[in-house]
Parts: sequence; C-alpha cells; structure tokens
Amino acid sequence: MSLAARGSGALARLAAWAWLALPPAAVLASLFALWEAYVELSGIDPVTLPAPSRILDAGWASRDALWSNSLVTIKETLVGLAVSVGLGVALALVIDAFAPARRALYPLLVGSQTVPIVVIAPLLVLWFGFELTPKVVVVTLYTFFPITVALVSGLAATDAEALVLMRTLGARRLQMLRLLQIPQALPYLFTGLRIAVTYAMVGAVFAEWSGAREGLGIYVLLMKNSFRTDLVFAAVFLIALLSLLLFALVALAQRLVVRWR
Amino acid sequence: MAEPLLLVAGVSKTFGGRRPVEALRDVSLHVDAGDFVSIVGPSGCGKSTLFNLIAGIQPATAGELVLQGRANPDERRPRCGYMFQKDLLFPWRNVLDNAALGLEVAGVCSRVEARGRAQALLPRFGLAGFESHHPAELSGGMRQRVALLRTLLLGRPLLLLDEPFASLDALTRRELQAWLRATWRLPVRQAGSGSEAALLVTHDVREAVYLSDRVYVMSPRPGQMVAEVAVQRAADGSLDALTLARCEEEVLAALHLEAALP
Repeated sequence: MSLAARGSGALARLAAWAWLALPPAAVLASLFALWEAYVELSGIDPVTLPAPSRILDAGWASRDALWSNSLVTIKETLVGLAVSVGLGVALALVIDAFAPARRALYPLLVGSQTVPIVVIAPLLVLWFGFELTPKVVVVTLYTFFPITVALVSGLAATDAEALVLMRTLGARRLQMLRLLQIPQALPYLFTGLRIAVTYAMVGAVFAEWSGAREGLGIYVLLMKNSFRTDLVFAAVFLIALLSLLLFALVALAQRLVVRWR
Repeated sequence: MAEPLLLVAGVSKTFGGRRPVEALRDVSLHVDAGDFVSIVGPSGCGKSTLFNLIAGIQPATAGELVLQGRANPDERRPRCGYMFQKDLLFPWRNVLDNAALGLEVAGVCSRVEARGRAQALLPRFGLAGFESHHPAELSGGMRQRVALLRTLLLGRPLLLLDEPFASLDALTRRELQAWLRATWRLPVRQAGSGSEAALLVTHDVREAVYLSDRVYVMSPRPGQMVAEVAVQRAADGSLDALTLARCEEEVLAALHLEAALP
C-alpha cells in the first residue's frame, strides 16, 4: 500500500469515527444546554437541581476525592469481572461438555438472575464485611450470566461438519476444545463481555451504597446526605464515563484478539 | 488377485428414529491400490453417508467394510483422508496453520515441523506466497486447495473426496480437476507414505469420468449400486475424447434407466 493510500485510509477511519461519535455528542450537548438554560431561567435551588456548569466546577474542585474513590470502585469492578469471566468460562465448558449439566444448571442460572440484588447486597455486607469481597460478589452476580450464556451459545455454534473433520483427523476432546471450539467461541465471549461491562460498574457502585468505607457508591451516598447534589451528579457522570471507557477497552481487546472477522 | 485396499460388501444404512430412513441398501464396491474411483449419483442418494461409514464416523446397519484388512471403525478412521464439500478452514488460522492442522492434531511431528512440511508443498498447490493469508482473503479455488493440502499432508492410504469442487464456479472447477488428476498421488509420495487410492463422490458425470479409472453409479434413495463403468485409459493415464464421451454416455444411461423405474 502506498503512503497516500494509507493516509487516506486513516482519514476515512477518522471520518467513520466522526460519523459515529458526532450525533450522540450533539444530542448530549443540546440536552446539557437545555438543562443549563432551564436552571438559569427558572431560578431553581441548586441543591434540588444544579446546572451542568456548577456540576463541572464542583467536580473539578473535588477531583482528588473523586479520583481516589474511583480507584476503589475500578478495582472492585475489575476483580469482579475477572471472577465473572473465570466462573463463566468454567460453567460454559461444563454445560457444553455434559448434557445433564446443561439441564441441571441452566434453569438455576436463569433463576440466579431473578434474585433481587437490592435485597441481597446488605446481607452480603453482613456476611463479608465492608471490604472487597461483598462488592466482588455483587459485580459477579450482575455479570457472570451474560458471559456464561454467550459462551455457551458460542461453543454450541461450532459447525457440526468441522467437528466431524476434527474427528477424522483423530482429535481428542481437549484438542477439539483448544483448536476448534474455543477459538470459534471467542467472538461470542466478547459479545457477552461487552454486555457484562456495562453492568459491572453499576454493580460495584451499588454494593458500595449498601456499605463501604471508600468508593464512588459510598461517596454518592455521603454527598447526598450532606446536600451536595452537584457532587452527586459529578460522581454519576464519572461512573458513566468510566463504564464507557471500560466498554471501549473491551471493544479494543476484541479487535486485537478476534482479528479474523 | 490381491486383496483390494477397500472392500465394501452388502452395506446397508438405515437411520433410526420414529420414521426410519433407509439411506443405503446392499451397497458393494471395491477400490484397489493405485485406483481413482468415483461414485456418481443424484443428490440425496446417500453418497456422503457411504463416506461416513467408510471413514468409521457412523456405524453401518448391515454389511462389511474392510480397509487395509481392518474392519474396526476406529482402525479405519485413521486410514482415511476425508475432504469435505465445504473447505472447513478455520478462519482464525492462516493458510500454513490450516494446512498443518491435521499433522498438528495427529501429533506426528512438532508444530514447527508440521508447518515446514506444509510450506514445502505450497508451490505445488499454487499457494506460494500466501502462507500467512487468512481464509477470508482467498478465492474459493484456493481455499479448496488448502483443504486438499490439509488432507494430503496426512498421507493416509485412502482419500475420500466428497464433492470437493461442488461449490466452485465452472472455470475454477475445471482447472482444479486437471490439477487434482496430476497431483493427488504426488505430494506425500515425497514424504514417504503416499495415499494409495482415492474415492470421489460427485454428481458431475464428466468430472467422474475425467478423473477416474472406474465409476460407480448409484440410484436415488435408498442408494443402491446400479452400474460400474470402467474407464479405459492409456498407459500414461491420459484419456482420449472418444472414450470420455462413451463412458459419459454409459454413466448417463445408467442414471436415466434408474430414474425411469418406479
């Protein structure tokens, strides 16, 4: 490829990016503008509804506290996701390998998603204390399901003829998994992971809300109780931003790992 | 006369279930070492089923299958190099790794060695310079050649070719047929243990005659052998146009005759 073509390729990618990013950015900007105008014109009490500009100022002023609490929440989220992936992969492999396991476990997995975590979370604090463990449990409860289900479908979607091919080549069960089923299920795993990360941080924040020493969840609760609505909003926006970032990281990892699509 | 490489005697296959389907009825055939044999039949006549029986992937309902003196399916399977209609290349592996897959699975040599053996044969398969391309970047004909290389590299005694060219366009197909005719025994002979015979399933009559020493004709379901046509080739394996046409007609006649029956 010539340099010129490469350059125009990069330009095309940039244009494609803009095409994707500009519309939501425009909508968001107008929403914030409306919000700002409303607060300005109505003279509403900033404790009830602070203007975006005020949220930004307050957030910047408290950036140290926001950052140190973010680190705690990020750590909980990542550890929880790691546990989820481990658990999800293990469950999916068992379910794929043994038909009875599928029948025995699948209904329970679906059932686990109907458990109201709102009710469970305070109990988890009671059992595991104020440290990392209950947060990891909540994040895992939120996120292992989409990962497991996606990977199970991925493993099941293996071309039946490709399995026959592997048999004619003399492949053993583990070779089938390693050389065929797992690589072909990777795109599915990433789809599940992308869904999971959108829940993950919310899970961590919620777990902190139920009892914690540090973290964005407990920070939001404290700020609410001291009528710092602006900082509540600042933390909420930060959580959204961090979640988006996490999502982008997973998408990037997918592009690096699943190169053949 | 010496024992044939492959002997299929009185083989039937009925698929169970609530409504049993009789796929094959009393099928017999033989393939000698050095033979290229084809089976022609209409779609759904159980040709692929027959291959699955030979390769020991499914059990026969009745009859006998013996390959190199082995009747046990688990002993027949590693003696068959099975090539499917679909290329079944793994999209996450490049050309070289796809071609080496069989050797890698069999564990006959290290991964490096397997790739080396595949690499050495790429030029003969028209794939030189494409070793690190991925299947999505290849044409249908090239993909099929990689699949054939993957099969041939194993050097198994009997090649089972299940409509390997069916999904290709007419031109690519002709080109690959000519090439297969020239290539099928060559590559692995070099490596020591070559394939000794090939069995091709197709519904293309000309392809069958053009490639084969003998052609079996099968009826629609339940599949039965209705004719066997010997293709008289010159000593160098070439085929004159007249013989080609005559054999083609013979095969067609057998197919038509069967189609006219109730």
